[in-house]
Amino acid sequence: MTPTADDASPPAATGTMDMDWAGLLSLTNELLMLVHETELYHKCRRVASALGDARRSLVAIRRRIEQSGRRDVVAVVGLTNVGKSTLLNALLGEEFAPRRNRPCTSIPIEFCHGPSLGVTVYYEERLERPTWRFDTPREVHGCLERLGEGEGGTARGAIRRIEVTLPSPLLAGGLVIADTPGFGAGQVGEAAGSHEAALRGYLERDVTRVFWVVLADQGIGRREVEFRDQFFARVCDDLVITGCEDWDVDDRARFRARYADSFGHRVPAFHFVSGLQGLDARRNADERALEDAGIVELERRIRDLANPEDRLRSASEELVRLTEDLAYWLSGYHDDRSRPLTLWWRPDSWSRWLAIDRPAPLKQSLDRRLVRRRLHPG
Amino acid sequence: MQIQARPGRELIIRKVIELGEALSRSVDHTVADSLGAIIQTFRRESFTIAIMGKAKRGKSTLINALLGRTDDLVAPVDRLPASSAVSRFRYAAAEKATVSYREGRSEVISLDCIREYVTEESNPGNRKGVGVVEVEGPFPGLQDGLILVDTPGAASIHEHHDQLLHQFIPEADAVIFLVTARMPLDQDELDLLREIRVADIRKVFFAINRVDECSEGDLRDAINHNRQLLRSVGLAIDLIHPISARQAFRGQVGTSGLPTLATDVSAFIGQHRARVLEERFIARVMAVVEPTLRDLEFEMATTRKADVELREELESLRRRRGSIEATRDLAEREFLHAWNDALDRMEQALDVEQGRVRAELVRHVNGAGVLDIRKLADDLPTWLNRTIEDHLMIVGQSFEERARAACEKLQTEYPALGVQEGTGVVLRTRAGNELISGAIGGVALTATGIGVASAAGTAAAGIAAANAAALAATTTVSAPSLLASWLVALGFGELAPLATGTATVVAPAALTATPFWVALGGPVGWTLAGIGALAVPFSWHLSRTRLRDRLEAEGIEQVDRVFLHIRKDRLPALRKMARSIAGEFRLRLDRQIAGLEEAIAKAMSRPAASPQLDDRAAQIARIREILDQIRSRA
Ligand SMILES: Nc1nc2c(ncn2[C@@H]2O[C@H](COP(=O)(O)OP(=O)(O)OP(=O)(O)O)[C@@H](O)[C@H]2O)c(=O)[nH]1
Ligand SMILES: Nc1nc2c(ncn2[C@@H]2O[C@H](COP(=O)(O)OP(=O)(O)OP(=O)(O)O)[C@@H](O)[C@H]2O)c(=O)[nH]1
Ligand SMILES: [Mg+2]
Ligand SMILES: [Mg+2]
Repeated sequence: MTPTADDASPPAATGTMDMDWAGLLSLTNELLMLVHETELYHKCRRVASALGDARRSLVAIRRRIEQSGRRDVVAVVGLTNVGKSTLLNALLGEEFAPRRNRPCTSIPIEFCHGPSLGVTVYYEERLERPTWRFDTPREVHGCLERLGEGEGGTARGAIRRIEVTLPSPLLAGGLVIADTPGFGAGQVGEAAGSHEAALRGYLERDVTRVFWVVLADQGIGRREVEFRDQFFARVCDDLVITGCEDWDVDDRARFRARYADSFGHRVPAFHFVSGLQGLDARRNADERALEDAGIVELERRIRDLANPEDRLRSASEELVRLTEDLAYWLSGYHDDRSRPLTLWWRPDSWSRWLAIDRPAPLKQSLDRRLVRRRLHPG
Repeated sequence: MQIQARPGRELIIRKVIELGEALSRSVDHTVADSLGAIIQTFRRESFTIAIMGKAKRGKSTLINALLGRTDDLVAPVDRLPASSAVSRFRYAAAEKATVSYREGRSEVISLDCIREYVTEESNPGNRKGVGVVEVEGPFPGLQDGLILVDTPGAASIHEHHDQLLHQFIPEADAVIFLVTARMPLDQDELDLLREIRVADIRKVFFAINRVDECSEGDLRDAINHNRQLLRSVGLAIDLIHPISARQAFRGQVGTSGLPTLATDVSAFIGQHRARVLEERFIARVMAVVEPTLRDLEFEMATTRKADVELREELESLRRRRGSIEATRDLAEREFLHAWNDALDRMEQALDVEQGRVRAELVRHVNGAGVLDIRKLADDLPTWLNRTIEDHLMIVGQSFEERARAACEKLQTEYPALGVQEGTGVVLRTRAGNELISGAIGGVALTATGIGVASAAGTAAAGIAAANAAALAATTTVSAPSLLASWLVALGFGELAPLATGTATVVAPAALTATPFWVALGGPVGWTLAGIGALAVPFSWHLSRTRLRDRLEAEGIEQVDRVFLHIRKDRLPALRKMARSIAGEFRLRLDRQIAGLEEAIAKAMSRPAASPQLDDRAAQIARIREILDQIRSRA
């Protein structure tokens, strides 16, 4: 497949102006159908398995589209103590999330837009959902600290997630950003693995997108790569390298070069930031320093995600990228006797796909890519 | 640090030489060779202290600081994972560096070129095949035969670094374990500490590096966390040294905390050098001799017996084998029954849920206003998918719980062979611990290689087998902590610390790691299969159907199809799964018993007892005696 680096030029005009979430979803359904039926149709295992890959990616995209219509949760995920909560505070502009120099966050905390400051607790097995209102971020911080207190406390185990509302313009588009417990923490006894379990449950149930946080000075460890592969690779396009305050351009380039290979063909965008510096910059209202800390760029990325139109566009771009990858693969395929694939799609599925009456540019753009042609020379 | 010659030293060496001689009469020369090498190291009296830790904790920086270097030529430092080989530093008047390649050859290189051999950047993936790099020089502090070792960092993305590190660990006499203030002790570090302990290295100096870049509060947090964690895993670490290797390296030694660490290390070595070297010497000797001795004893125990006796034991084993059949049959039948019962309940629950989904569907379709029909049609696949999934989850989860309980019960009640120190092979059956007395003369069976390695090994293997069978297609790698809790739950509480630590326990996934309802969907996993198989046909029909009752009918058909698929495909597969789990258990025990039989049979086919045999017995007794003498010194 074509390498899809973050710096690859965006796919050509996909135009989604006339497309809404429902339209995109049903188009995705049709595409899924085409791919799936063709997957079952092809006898050659290699082709079927490539189509299977495409189908799985489509399912993930579809899930994102489906949820985007409702609730889009961007989770900040990473090894314990890398600075997730600090980064989040830097993004939100206030010190909401408790941070300590030891395993700290024990429950997923969701930040979403609301007219005033408030904290709501969702329990695992209780219907009641207590809500508190506050006047200052400080009070919110205190409340969160109390709720998450104590390693392995019993009351805490029963909390499924905490929701914080705040009038942040960043979240105005309906985006939810979540702070999560770290994985790989050295925990023993009762509490062993409790943070990780909380995180996994949350990833499975509530998350549409992951911002993966790693620590510059520590690099990316095997445990981190494995955890990512296993639990969130499909929903992660953004790697945030924090603690970069004294990493210059060359260091950053070397970091990228060293780790890019661990991602297969889906290399996430690398964002180099310093959560701590960002937080300081917020405190001093120093825009320049905030920019230097990489927080402004990250904010932009989040705004893109939060902007409904952009979200829609990025989802359709993903569809286009996927079809491009698939077309590239199919056109390069040769069987044992080095014959190319003459038939890409199951005929009836294909005619059905063509018959879909949607004058959307996106549909045409997908069509263009799906039509069998020779991309590979020779 | 003055080397005091302990009077007992030569004595021990003599004993080990004797041991080697005694052994060399019975086994091939490799054992004697390794003993020779161990003695040689011991004779040199050098003390090897290695710096270990995860990648990027500042190990190489610390080495440079300790060696009093002002550059990083000998131990290259980098922001990205760097050290890719084990480097030993020792004292000599002149500087010299030697690369030893893994294939045996070695080569002298200039100090300026060390970087070419020991860094990931210049030697990616260890293409050059470097084993160790020995660096000599007039390094202050190493005059007394102290060897300082820089090791590759653990747990980075470069797996071969870990391999090199693990191979090296037993060679260390003491360890300086480095963590950073920025990162409180984590799971990878606990794993590494456990490995150090498994190698029987008893002295670990614990240092927190990079304190220059964190606040006092942060340092306090980190120290408290580390202390608590170290205590709870039973590691006795009294002193935690806060240091800044970089400050020391840059010349600000006074404030770096390094002097205190160095004093602690040299005071320890000054005081305990001889004792530690002796302990390490003995530990290494034991590691070589014990397995060999077990081999010999087994051979001995079997050859010494008269054929008649052996035949009798074989008979007895066969009889017992018959008697365990009853226990195992019962355990299996009970397991199958519990499993099938869980499935039956699931099947019933499926009916109920199917009814519920249908009812919900009807309500959903009819609840929509006339103008919403189009939207309803578009949303229906999604809605159905979610609703079906929600309902199936309930069913799946309760099945999962029952199935797990059934597996646990099978595990505890199934007969199993085990080895018990001193008593020999033990057959565990439902009636408690029954002994195959004298089946092979009461010796540990470890040597027979029939897979009854130890009680621990058996348990782990059993769990692995059960899980592998249960989860056939799923490839979840279990988090160690999960495996541990699983072991605890099974009553193997004492094994849990072991399982948490060792990467060698390769049980795929604890049953808890992947919910059964995920497995229910077949190899692709329910969620994926759900959408791939379900939403697709919906959208096709539904996108053309805008009539309410057609929508309803189409929806119901889809619901029924899904449930039918589960009944037709998934349930039978699950039923089969139970048989394959039971089959795994059966196979394991059969293999073990067959191995035992074979071992006895082999013993019977040996040439009859000769006069040499008494000689051999005397030899073993002699070896045991020497070993006891050596051990009693430790
Ligand atoms: N130097 C530096 N330190 C940072 C940065 N970000 C966070 N820290 C420090 O790292 C420590 C841990 O930060 P947290 O934000 O609590 O980390 P976390 O990932 O949320 O930790 P858990 O919730 O336990 O998983 C704190 O002491 C922070 O001050 C950064 O960008 N630079
Ligand atoms: N601030 C600070 N940085 C340090 C200190 N010690 C080491 N470093 C920095 O940490 C980084 C890693 O240091 P190394 O000595 O290469 O670490 P290592 O443990 O040998 O790393 P590997 O060989 O890759 O396992 C380098 O950038 C060092 O400059 C310290 O005490 N303070
Ligand atoms: Mg946190
Ligand atoms: Mg190093």
